[in-house]
Amino acid sequence: MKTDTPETGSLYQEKKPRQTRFPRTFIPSLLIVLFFIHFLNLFLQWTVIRQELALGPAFRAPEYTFIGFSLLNQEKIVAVQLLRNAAPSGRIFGFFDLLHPAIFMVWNNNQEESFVDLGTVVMAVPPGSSRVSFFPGSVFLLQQGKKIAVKYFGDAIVGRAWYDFLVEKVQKRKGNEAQIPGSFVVKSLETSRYLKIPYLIYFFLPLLLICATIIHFGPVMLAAFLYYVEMFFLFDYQNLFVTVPFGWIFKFVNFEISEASTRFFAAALAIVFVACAILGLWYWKKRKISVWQKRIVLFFVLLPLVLYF
Amino acid sequence: MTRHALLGLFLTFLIVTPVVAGTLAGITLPDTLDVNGQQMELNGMALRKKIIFKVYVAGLYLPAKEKNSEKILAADEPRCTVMHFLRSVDAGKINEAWFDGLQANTPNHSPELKKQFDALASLMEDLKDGDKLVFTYRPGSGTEVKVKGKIKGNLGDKAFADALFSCWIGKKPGPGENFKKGLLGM
Repeated sequence: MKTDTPETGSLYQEKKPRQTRFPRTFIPSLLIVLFFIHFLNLFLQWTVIRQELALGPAFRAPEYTFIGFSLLNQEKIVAVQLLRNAAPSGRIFGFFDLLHPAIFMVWNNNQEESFVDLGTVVMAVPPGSSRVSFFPGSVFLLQQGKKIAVKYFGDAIVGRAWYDFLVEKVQKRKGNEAQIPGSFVVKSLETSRYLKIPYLIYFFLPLLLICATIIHFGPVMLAAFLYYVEMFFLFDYQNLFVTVPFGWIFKFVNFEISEASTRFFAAALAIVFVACAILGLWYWKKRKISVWQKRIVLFFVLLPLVLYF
Repeated sequence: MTRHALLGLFLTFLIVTPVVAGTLAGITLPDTLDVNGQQMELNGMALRKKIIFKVYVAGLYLPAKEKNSEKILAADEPRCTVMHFLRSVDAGKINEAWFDGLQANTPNHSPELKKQFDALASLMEDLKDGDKLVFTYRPGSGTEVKVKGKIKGNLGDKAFADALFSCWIGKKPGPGENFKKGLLGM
């Protein structure tokens, strides 16, 4: 029925309902952001390894050549594979791709197994040419002809399961080939200038961002602390929570923290993060939260997986 | 939600807290150990003493209890030794013991084995009361070396593991025959 009186706005108009569902474009844009972070993380790890080696290899001093990102240097990599080694002490070419933070092609000119520095680890490579591919999650693959060794050098709670999965996958793909020992020594994060940088970023940058979102959006954003709960299981929690971020304090006060105390402080911090996450989820349940708040929490929940893999 | 969170916390502690069993010189070692999904039993414990000072307590873990050291070394099965230190020992002294053990028990060792022992020596640190050294041999994977709770490296093949474990349960064990008997549960 038509009326002559036009509709007039009221001073007490109802508020527009808040958008609580993700728009269609959200998932693709989130995937793009996560992929970008994945690339940045690989680049960070590659840069750290490169800098660590540029600073001076720990064990031997072969000749290093850093090629860079494989997709931009395909021709160089193909050419390098055809090269004969000329350096008397051995030669190493390194690059990274979308799946590996570092891949090294190693020429060992000695008649016997030699230890060479590959940034995060010092490892024994057999005589001749071999290839060492670093996988995310502290796993590397040493290949020489048909001989193969898959090794794990991390100390994460779920790391061993990831390593077992990779071993099974690689062995299935390659068949039952001969094994090589592939001895290695892990370089200490605390004493290295560069190797601790990823852990410092993984710990402090999200902490800063989460604190900023809590200030802006309120206590519901405490749910983003789920990031640290996941990181506890995915990474070496003692290094991530205590040794690397707070090591400088212990050094400053000239205090050597024991293994038991490190584990205790790391577990205590993990419990604080779990409590924060639960409190955030409790706020979430209590009131409707906006789509932006959901987006941010989802981002922090997925972030550890991107950093790990 | 809170109940699930508490369950999660409980599970976290379950992972971190071992099952308690053998005790020697005030040191308790778990009865069983999980190595790659394989349950290992505490075969025996021994105390390393130097004159009157207690240096460390060691525990040997095997898939099944075994009193014959030759059978243990011959079998290509996982094995693990935990050394719990009761006093401060510097890395130099520990390394001296490794090389003495290598020389005494594997006199005709290869240059590769010597190199691997050199690498082992590079992993050692000065240890304090309460610190631990853990050596876990996994067939086909090598011997994982943990110092103060951190993985420091993974060395060698079975030959290295045999030479290393011979330092405790070989023909001429560095810490003595009684120590060897303790690890073998005799």
